[in-house]
Amino acid sequence: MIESVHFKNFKALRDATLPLGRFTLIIGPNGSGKSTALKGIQATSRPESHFYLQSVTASKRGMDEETIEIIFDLTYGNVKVARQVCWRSDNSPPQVRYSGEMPTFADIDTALARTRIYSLNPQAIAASVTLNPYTEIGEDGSGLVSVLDRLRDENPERFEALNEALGRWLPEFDRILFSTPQQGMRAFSLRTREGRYSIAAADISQGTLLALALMTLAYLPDPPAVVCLEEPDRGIHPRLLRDVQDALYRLSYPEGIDDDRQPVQVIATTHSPYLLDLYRDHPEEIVIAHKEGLDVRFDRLSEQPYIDELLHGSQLGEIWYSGILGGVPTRI
Amino acid sequence: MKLSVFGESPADEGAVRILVEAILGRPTEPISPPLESRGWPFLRNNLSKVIRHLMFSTETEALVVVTDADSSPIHHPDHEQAGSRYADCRLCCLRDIVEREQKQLSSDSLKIAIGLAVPSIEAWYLCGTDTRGSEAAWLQTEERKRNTMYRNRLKYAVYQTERPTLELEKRCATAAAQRLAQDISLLETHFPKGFGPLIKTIRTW
Repeated sequence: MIESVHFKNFKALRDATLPLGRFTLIIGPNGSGKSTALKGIQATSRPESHFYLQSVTASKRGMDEETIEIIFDLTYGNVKVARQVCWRSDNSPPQVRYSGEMPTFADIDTALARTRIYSLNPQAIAASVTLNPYTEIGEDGSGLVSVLDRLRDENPERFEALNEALGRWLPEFDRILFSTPQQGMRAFSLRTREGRYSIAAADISQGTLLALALMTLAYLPDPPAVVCLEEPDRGIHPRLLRDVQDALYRLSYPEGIDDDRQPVQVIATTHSPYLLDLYRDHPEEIVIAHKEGLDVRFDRLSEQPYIDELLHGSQLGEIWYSGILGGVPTRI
Repeated sequence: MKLSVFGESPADEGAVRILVEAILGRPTEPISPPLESRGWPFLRNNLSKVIRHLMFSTETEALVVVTDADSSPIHHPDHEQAGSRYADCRLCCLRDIVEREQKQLSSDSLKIAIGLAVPSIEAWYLCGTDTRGSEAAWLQTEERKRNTMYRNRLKYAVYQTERPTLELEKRCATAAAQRLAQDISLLETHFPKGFGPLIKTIRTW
């Protein structure tokens, strides 16, 4: 698990440390580095896919001898390891260094390579695709139909559990159906509980599509090792945010639902006070991004002094909105 | 009887309904869409609107409100003396809202009962199976000042995880309520200050 990430000269994150847990929800104003942090985590997981010039902090552009550094503090089993990735201004290949005692750094590289960012897009989720046995859910949710098709064929129990979850979350539907719009292509639809009509993916509401993609991710037998989610609450009715929370916890705490797969480290961002309210009993899972001039600072909510007193008789989302906790936009 | 339940979580609705039916000795009918709240402040801020909605826009005959006490003071019979209601006591606070609404509307046609789960509804679910399932256990514990941690421990005891899904919460809450419905006096005995007032009111219906 990634315990923390230190960023140096990575876009807006000039010098910042992001503390992480098995599940982390980052809140903060626009432009406070939440999405940048997720991109940094992905860049560090696959350093060769990023370049110095596209990622260096604006004020450091054009300066010689500068570096971008991102350091992961990891625990792997009981061993603590630091993994540093460094991009240099001469655009030489990124350097990856480990410190700590660990016999199999390659295992960590392999696990981290399975880091995925999702910023789900309803149109991409609904799109039909050419069948491909190796497809996974894309950053925007594309390829979902292929993943569902494989889940049905290879893990029918999980597919049935997903259908049941669909029925609980969105009771107007009871089943995911598949069709072949043309040879080699796959499309999906949802069947209405009442009347058993098939509603094509393109005609399904945006919120339903986003919910389905999240649900699918949570029911996969082999989800990515690290899942970074941009605003998983987007497009979803506030009363259904509890289902969003359940899907995210299903990923990161599989033992809580008797799933024997490996836990996924989940890092999500939100601007929703309603979603935040649901984490009242786990302030250690909330990280607040503070924007201070050109700098960004990340603090765990649980490290706020008097957090229990602050929460007494109040809703977490409201307290955040008020500005008491920081992590809110400033006005001139 | 058409009954609405206004609690802190949708998982509690079914369980509270089972307990109410056990007290009444007859089934109840829900209204649609069901009420849902987002914790204590929401419940306190919206109770008066909920009462008006139920009275003017539905055929609801009775409303049961259940809230967690968290670390707020536990209700005491002294609070019930006229003019001495305790502002920090959630039961007193909700009773004030109900009385004010009934006075303003000049109507008490909607029956209303209020329960205070001390410190959270999971303690009710543990009643009779775990030593933490009583108001006395909460009053005696050294962990009262660390409410969040204690709440999570109660959750773990009920759901075997601190992060139950809504589905699991509903399943466990229903099972616990069905067990408690067999002998409702258990809750009355172990939660005299929070469940006591609820059962006392419902028995008058």
